[in-house]
Amino acid sequence: MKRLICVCLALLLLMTGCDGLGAPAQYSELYVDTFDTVVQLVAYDSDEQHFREQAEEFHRLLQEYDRLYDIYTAYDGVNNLYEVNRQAGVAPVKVDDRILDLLEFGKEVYTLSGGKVNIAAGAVLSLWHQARTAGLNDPANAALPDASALAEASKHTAIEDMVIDRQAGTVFLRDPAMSLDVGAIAKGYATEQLCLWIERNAWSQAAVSAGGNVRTVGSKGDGTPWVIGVENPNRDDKQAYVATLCLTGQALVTSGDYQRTYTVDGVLYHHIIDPATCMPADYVHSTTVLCDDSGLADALSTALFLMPVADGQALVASLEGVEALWVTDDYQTIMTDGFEAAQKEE
Amino acid sequence: MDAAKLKFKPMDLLIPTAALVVAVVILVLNFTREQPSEKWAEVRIGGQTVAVLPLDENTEAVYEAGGGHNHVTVQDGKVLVSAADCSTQVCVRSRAISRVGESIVCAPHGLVVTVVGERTETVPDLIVR
Repeated sequence: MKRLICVCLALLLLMTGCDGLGAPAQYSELYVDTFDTVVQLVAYDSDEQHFREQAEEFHRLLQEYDRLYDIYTAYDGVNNLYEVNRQAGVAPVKVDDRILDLLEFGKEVYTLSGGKVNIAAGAVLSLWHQARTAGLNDPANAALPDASALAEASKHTAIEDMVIDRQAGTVFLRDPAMSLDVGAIAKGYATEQLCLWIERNAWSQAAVSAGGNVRTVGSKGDGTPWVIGVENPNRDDKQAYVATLCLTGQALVTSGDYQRTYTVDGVLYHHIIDPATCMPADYVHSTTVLCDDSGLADALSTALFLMPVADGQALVASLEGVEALWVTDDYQTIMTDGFEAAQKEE
Repeated sequence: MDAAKLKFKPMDLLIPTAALVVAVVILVLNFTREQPSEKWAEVRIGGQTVAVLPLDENTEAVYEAGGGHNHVTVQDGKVLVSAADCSTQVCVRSRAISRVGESIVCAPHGLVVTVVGERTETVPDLIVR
């Protein structure tokens, strides 16, 4: 019966044909120059010129966030996280408020995840980053990071040694051997801030995907929810998505063992490192979090990836408005009730 | 005319029933059969369309993009990035795509492959991965 109603509605929609005059049309832009990934912006606007102007401003802000949160590159005239890391053990660095906001959010996430998501673990993560980069450039000689180097680095990951001075507008890393890596939270956090900007300044109906971190603003132009697919980590399965959700204003973020990988002696290693072992976590294939805040969704999806499903279920149950999906090591899907309820009806 | 001959016999239902069955079968076939719609893989580099490859012809092409190269392969109605020398390898690990609106992106090289054509299947607006 539901299907019949759907068919009738679809026919009705076809018959009505084109949108009325001045009705908002869908526009989109793709940016490939930030966060080492692709950022897609989709928005409804009744004026194409207005869309282009606002999209340009969006892109400018996106680039600003990318540069501020970049730990690998220095930029002229910007004190970014690269500079903060370079001054570890030397001196506090005066930084943009948007950096302090991110780092304070990082502290909250550390507490929330019981230390699993740690932006002060750069010393460990950089060893993996170097090994992966070298391995991708020269696959024949790909190697894991040295175990004793990892063990030594893990002694320099105390988040208490990241000292934020709001009044002075500075951040100081007390331990000269420590460094920050905001990879687990920066994309989601920046996406959230950009969507808040969109809500205030640009559009009431839009969606942003930053390398697969999705945050929606309102519904689609026709009032229906955004339809978001969750990628199936099992490439041998014909089904491309493990779930398809309807979103109106919420965020959806996935962490998976198929992202940013490299191969050593025929074994695939991914980039989400368990602080307890200093090795890639292998509890599940992927975790997906649904909630209002894209920064939180990004951080929590990483946190859930770094713990057994049962621990993750307990964590999610303790949080208001957070729903989750796990794809277990044998490719079973487990969802919270709220996640199941958000699924698109077939 | 003999009144007995006008009497309703069960066999009289045969032709209308057969006609109905045929009609339903044709209707169902029409609804379920894959529409032979035309689809292409549009290859863009830095926002500029550099190639449009029909999905019903198996091909492989190499594109110079962002200081490197990407091999784009069309096979059995699907398109994928079969090889690339980019730093992330995200494009190479992406699934082969065949539904209108689906994309594979190589961010380091600024290369995007999108399936274009008439929309016959529903695809999500966005994907999380």
